Amino acid sequence: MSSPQERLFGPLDSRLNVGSGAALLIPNPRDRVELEALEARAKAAGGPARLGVSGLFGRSLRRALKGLPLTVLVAVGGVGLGLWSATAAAQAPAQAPAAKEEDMGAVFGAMYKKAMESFAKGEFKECIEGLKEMIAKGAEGPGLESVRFTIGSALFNQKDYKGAKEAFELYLKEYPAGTKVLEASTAVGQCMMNLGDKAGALKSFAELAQKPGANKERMVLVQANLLTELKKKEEAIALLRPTVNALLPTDESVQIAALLAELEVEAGNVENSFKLLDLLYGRFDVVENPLQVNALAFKIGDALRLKKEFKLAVRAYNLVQRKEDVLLLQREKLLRLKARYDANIASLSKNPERLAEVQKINSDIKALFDDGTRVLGEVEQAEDYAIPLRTRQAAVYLELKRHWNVIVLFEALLKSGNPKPEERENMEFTILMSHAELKNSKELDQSIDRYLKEFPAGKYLPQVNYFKGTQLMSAHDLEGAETLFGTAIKNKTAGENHETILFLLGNIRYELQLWDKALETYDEYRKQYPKGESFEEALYRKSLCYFFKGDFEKALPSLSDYVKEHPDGQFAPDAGFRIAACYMAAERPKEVIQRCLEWEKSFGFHKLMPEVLSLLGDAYVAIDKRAEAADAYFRALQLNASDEVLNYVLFEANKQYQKLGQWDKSVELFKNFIERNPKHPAVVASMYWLARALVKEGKPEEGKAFLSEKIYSFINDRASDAVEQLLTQLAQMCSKKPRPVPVAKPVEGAKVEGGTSVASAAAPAPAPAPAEGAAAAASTPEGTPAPAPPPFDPDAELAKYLSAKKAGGTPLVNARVLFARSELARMTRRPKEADELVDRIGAEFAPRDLGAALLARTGDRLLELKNIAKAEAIYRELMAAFPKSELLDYAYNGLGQMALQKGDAEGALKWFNEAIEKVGADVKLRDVTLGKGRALLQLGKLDDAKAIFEQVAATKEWRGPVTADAMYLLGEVAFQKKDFQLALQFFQKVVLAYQRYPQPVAKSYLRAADCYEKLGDAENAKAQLREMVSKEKLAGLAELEQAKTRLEGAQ
Amino acid sequence: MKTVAKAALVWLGLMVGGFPAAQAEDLLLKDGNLIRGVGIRREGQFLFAKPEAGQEQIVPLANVARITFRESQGLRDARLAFKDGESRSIISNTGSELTYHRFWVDMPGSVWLPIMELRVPALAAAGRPDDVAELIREWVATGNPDLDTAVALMKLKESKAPKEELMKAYTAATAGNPSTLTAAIAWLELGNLALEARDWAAAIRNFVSVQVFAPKWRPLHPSAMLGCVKACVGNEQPDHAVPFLEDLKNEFPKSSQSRIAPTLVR
Repeated sequence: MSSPQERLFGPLDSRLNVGSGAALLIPNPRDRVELEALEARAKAAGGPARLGVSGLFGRSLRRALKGLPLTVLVAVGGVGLGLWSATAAAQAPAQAPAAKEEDMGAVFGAMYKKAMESFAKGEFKECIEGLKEMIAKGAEGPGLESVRFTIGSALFNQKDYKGAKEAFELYLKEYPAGTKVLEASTAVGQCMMNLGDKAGALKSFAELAQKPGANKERMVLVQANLLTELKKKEEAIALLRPTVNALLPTDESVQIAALLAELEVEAGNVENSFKLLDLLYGRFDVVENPLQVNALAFKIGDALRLKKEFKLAVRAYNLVQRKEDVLLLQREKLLRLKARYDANIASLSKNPERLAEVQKINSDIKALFDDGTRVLGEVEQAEDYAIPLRTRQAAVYLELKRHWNVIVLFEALLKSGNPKPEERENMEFTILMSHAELKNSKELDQSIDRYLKEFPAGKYLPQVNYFKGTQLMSAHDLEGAETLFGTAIKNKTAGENHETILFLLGNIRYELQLWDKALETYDEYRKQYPKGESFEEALYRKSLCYFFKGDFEKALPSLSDYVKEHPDGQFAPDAGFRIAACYMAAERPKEVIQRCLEWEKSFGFHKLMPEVLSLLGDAYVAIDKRAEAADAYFRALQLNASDEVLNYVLFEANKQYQKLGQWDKSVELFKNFIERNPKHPAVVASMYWLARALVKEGKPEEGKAFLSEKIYSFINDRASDAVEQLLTQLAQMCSKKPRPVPVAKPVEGAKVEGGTSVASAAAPAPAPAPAEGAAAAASTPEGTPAPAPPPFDPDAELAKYLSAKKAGGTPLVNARVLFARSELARMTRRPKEADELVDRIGAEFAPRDLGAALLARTGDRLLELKNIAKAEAIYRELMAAFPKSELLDYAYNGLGQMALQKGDAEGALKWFNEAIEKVGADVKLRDVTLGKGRALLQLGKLDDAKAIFEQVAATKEWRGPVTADAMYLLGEVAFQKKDFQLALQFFQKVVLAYQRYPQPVAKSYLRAADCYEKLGDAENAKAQLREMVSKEKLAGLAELEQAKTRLEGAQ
Repeated sequence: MKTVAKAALVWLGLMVGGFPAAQAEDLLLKDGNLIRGVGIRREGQFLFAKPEAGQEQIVPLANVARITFRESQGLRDARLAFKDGESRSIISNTGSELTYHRFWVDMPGSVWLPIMELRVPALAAAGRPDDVAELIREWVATGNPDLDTAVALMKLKESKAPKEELMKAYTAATAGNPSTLTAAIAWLELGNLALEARDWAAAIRNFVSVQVFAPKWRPLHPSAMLGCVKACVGNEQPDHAVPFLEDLKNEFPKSSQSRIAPTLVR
């Protein structure tokens, strides 16, 4: 910003330029024409021939010559000339002058005119010489006042301030009541200022302010500026405050408000400065220079930012008007002035008598128009300040942690395309950082991609790569993160995040079980950052690498080193536990027991306690101390352990109680567990095992009654998926004829029921029950022989414990009872009856009456029966009524299979993809995967389909009919690729290895024949078909009929 | 000015019965005479000026250069409420001014436009359907492009235009000068549409734009900030709502939104 003096008076040259010629005052030719027309009309009406300084341009000049002595008014315009001429003319009759005197008057007039013309041209030296010559030749009269004043002005404009001061002082001495006393006094003050006598100037202006007719606002402004320069800001504020006019009617009042606002903010009077800024913006449409007000808002905002008054700084920056808006405002202002000017001229045709009045008004309008035009030019020339403004706003928002505001600001700027490349990069990076702060994962990803695309070698690349790596980690793309961070470390481009990245790289490799690489990385970290934030953790993780790698010989000393180095370290409890586990791995259970007991003493309340107790239990088991083991597991069960640990210790404890024959303790164990963990996934299995324990305890009726009670408590709750599981368990218990059980005695090494693995214990698979006779034969009672058993009726047994009527007889209850009966029929080897019962569920109940499990089961059955419409309704209900059910994959799979059957491969693919991505297909993953492959095959995406079929065929857990299907489909892919030899291999493999599955085998025979035909081997083709028709297992299949027809055709 | 004059005629046509009496206004006549502190009323092509003491003067409307309206308490309160973003108060305070000032819409010095600059954003933010419908029904172009476009946007919404059409119009409205009322309303509505579509990031972007680019239109800010809070909650990031809650509490403590927002987060 310019100095206060410049702001007040402006550069001298420009003042002269503006005042030195009328042409400069007329903005465009049209205005000039109008002006000339106005002058012509004025002349015709008897007015002055030229609308000079006293008329049209008067105000403009006064405004332009702020602070200058009004020399130019006198010098250039008709007033000065008029005064001199008038003086000469007036002298004539009064003094009855001789002809010579008249001649001199004319001479002086001519000399004066010439001098004034020199002034107008900026030839001040010639002007001064001319005027001095007049004085030397004895020029006198009222005109001399102007001469004296003009000499001072010309000297001033020549920057001869000393001379000018003397000239103006002479004027004041000779004309103490002259017409230019105020101007001359002002000029004296200005000369003093320019001569460096600021104190003198201040005094001079203060005195001047008291004089009648003085422009007080102007004088105050000058004084305030001088006081500011003299570093007397408090005095300046005190001087300015009473002068502020809230209406801001004059230019000076605007400048006073602006100066005071600046001083107030510097003095810390923020509120005052804001009030002034508000005033200025309230009159933004009339202030002479809006850019100046904007600059002030910038300045106040910056000052507030430095003072960390961020919210106020935002307010200040918010006031700044955009350049486009300022231009618009300024143009509108000019248009309004122009319209008023035109209207005034137009009014003259009707009211010529108003000429003088119109002249006066329009001269003011013209002056305003000219000033406005000049300001418009300045605004147009000014650089756009949108970027500095937005950057400042963003900086403040960052301080205020308003990250969304920053994002929105910079996105808008980037969209405008205005920022330069370096600014763009800064903005993109700031956006990226803001998204990182906000944890906007998706947006951060996009931001990173944008940055990397636009600035592949940008200055923030290390940081951006760091964020990208952490994003990949969040997305579980550990391989991607490992590559990125590994490259950054290798290429030494990790920048300031090197330490963090190195440690994270170790962790990623640890997670990826790249133990050797992880070890190497942690070693590197410890070497490079012995005082690093993660130094301790790196050592601990290094130990874990050995541990999980199975290298216990190295893990043990490494963990011991950690405990030694960091006895109170954050990982000390975990290390203690792992050390014990190392001894377990080394098959030293006694050492383990000792370590675990010591651990308990040291860290008894630590969250690892359940794991330690579990390990302790395992160690006791290893030395056959089952009671102690069961006790340790039971204790673990009482703590807040993870689901996984709870599951383990629950069934391990049960196993020990079984071996000890302590069924009562098993009962207690499960009761305790169910009570403490009613929502645990193992609750349903626990109910089953509890019932079994009751049976083993010799209380079979109590066991079934227990299950029955639990079923009744849930059976009317449509949302309870556990009911179907319990029904299956009840059916299983009812499928077997009860046998008397002798009173249990502790038996070492007794057979453990429910298998030995946690998985089998947690999810008991209901084994098919033997037929009644077989069951009776197989169930030879242990101990005392029982009397001949009565005929056992499993259906009646089930009915005893499950009555639809007792449960309320609602459709849901009835359907569930049917389901239980179906399960019982299946377990007692009555498959047809089992299917019929399930079919009744589909036929007799509306989808809305069924729970998720029944919907899933029934939907699949209906699909199998090709009852597409009803199956679809069932699946849709499953999705609508149970959007969070774990069985949703049945619906997605079912709908996908339907789409496949209809030939809508795109639709099928969508369902299968959603089954995996949306609901995380679990039970149906196998079917969904195969279905997806089939859809891709239908779409002709052979390679994609092949990859999926290979995956299905290679998955051990899925071995069975889908493997046969996958092999057959791999043959189909090869066939469609016209690789008939390869296709033949697949088809023959199905025929040879999967005879158990007639459908794919039959299809493979036909396709194998096709392959032979394509290969031109008709004999082998026929041989395939002949072999196929000989297979009894394929009887009844449509493919068999096709084979027969083809054989007949071939003969 | 033609449109304003037309508007005046429409409103004048609506008036039946007596003309509301005015408080003391200043009247500048085209002959330069200034009549201070008169109550004014209008009948046909004449203005009746009644000084506190003395006889009523009849002045042809054509002779009036300008009327300087004294600022009423209602308008003062509306201006204060505007700064505080209290739309309800603005609507109520400007509502009481409408009857009187709509008669002078076509006269130099009319304050109709400033009243509408207060009222339109308040109605856009929190107007009752009836009030908004009335504004739209009676609106005649003012010649102020921003205000006229803003009302056109409100009209589009009121007409229950399809969402796609609304989106298109709002998006176009934000492409121009971002500090206008039009842009501010468009962002607010785009934010609401994004909320409906559960596009939380887009919702926040649009709502924040009101605060960042259109700071002048304070009545729209509380709704925009509440929208941000809703989006944060919807996005299951209630902690991100904290800055918006703070701004609501500090800048618009009396707004209904500042009371509702914390309950959403809780």
